Amino acid sequence: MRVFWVFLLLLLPVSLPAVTLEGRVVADDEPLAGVVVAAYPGLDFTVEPVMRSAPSDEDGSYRLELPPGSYALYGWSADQRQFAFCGRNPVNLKAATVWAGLQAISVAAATAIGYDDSYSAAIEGQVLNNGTPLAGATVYLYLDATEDFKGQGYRLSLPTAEDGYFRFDGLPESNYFLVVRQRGNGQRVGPVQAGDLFGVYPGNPLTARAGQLQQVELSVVAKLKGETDSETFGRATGPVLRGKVTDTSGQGVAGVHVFAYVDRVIGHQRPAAISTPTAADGQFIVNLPEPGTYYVGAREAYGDSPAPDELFGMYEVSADHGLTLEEGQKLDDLHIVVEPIAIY
Amino acid sequence: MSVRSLNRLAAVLLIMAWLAGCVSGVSRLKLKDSVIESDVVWSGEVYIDGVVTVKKSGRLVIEPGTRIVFAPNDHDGDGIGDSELLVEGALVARGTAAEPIVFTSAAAQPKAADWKYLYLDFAREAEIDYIISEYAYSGLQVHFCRAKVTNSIFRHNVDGLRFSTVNLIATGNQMYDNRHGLRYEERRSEVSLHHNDIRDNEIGIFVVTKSDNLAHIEQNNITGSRQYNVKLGWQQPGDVTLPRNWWGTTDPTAIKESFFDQDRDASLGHVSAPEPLSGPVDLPDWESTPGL
Repeated sequence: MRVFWVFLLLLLPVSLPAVTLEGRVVADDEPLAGVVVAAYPGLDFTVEPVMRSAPSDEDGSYRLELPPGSYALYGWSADQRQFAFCGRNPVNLKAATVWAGLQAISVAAATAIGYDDSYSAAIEGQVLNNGTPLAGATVYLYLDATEDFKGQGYRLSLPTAEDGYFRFDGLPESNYFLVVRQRGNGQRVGPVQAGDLFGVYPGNPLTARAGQLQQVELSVVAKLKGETDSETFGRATGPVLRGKVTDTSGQGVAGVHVFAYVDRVIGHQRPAAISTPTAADGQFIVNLPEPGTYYVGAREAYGDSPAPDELFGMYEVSADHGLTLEEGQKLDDLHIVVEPIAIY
Repeated sequence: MSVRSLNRLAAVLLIMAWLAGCVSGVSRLKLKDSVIESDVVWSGEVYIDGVVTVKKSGRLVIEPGTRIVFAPNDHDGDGIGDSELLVEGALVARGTAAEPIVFTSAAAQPKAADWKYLYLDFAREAEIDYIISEYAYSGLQVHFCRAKVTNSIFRHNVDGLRFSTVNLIATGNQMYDNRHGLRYEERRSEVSLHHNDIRDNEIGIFVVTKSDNLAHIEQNNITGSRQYNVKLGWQQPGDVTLPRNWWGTTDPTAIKESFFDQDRDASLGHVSAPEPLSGPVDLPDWESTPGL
């Protein structure tokens, strides 16, 4: 009989302690009440969320109890005219209590007009910052949300004009996720840092049909301080690499990124993880998404192929520059030497 | 013939075969995944079944007449053989017209992509003269380094010669029966390609992306391509100029029709071929051509 009860106990579901997620929804730095915040398993908010909050209070605050994990947080006002998103999406919930703020933008519906190519589609629009046209922003089209809207996506626009205008021509019929970014450093790829502007289109995914030009409006908000980890670390749930980047004389090199690719031939895809710029002494931390083999190196710039004169170097201890890490493993004291790519 | 006689004959044949190998003087080296970290010289036949990496500290010299034979294994099932020679240090592969250095497949019936490539990546030194590279995914890839490639043949590959972000001189070479004779992403490369014979490929020259029209590609024969003599990749909106080459014809319309560019896809740049030559370039002429 005792064995029976033990067996029965084993059959009971084991639930992990919930994480309390708290935060505030703001619009133009003012609290926004009445926004229902929903936690999604990924950045595609057209699927059923894992959980929804009660409408935000007068001070914009909301609260959710969720199992530990990674969630994208989006919110909508009751009239669907305000759309809010978290700059840290996806948010990694590990601690007992996590704070995550959302910033809201106004929603404007897309309009479709005729396009002179009946075999392809087009998207055009205007990027706004606090209602004012934003020049120099880049709009990114992603075909899905599986990679958390990172990298260059399917296509990226030319920098927006003075009137905030952008356009994509000759698109295959498809659903597109639109994201807009304007980095203070002028780069079109790379981490979105505190103070950079970014936005997610509330109508994602936008359906582009052949023979139609979709006209949209995209609003941006400023990335808040402390929201930059997800851009550089991905879903930081796996092993950790720590170490130092030096020049050939052993001197620490500041301001370079350490990257980890899952493919041995690097550069043919986005890295699986990349560090923030190294500290003054060359120290770095890379949080990897999961156990596995990674090909590791360091470079000065971010995105695209390394350029002549750029500082670059690979982890040289293994022949293929690879490292294999297990669940929860932390590897310290990696040393990577960088030197300029000298081809001239 | 008795069993004893047969055994005796077999023994004699084995000894003769062994002696033949000794007399021919062909040394045979078999390599799996391995690393070269110091000065190494290859001669005879080198059989590679895996990835051989010449690290930064390594320097590989390959003597004339050497055959480097790659096992046609595709363990990862990507349709491309896994064996390769990767050079991050130094490579000096200097054959002769009479004794070229051959990089080839070990397959009985070889085909393109039996092996992966001869790959120069951040190489400290790269000199290639009179080699034949065949049945690879890429006969030769050159990236992030200075290299000189002369008098060589790249045939029966997916990509004959491929490069990006390099300082490259390529002259006196033949690229034929490849998917792409020459494939490149310019990416601020400093390139001089002249007196090369790029013929009978599916696509003669494939300009993938990031070309700022700075590569000097002139005084070449770019002929007989089964699809296009020049094709721009879908992310090459800039123009590409290829002056003073022989296109197999002097008819401007025919030359233009052998290009895949803005005339066929509005999002691409234009390919132009000013001052086309009226006849083929003679490859041996390059040594006496000043200023190129």
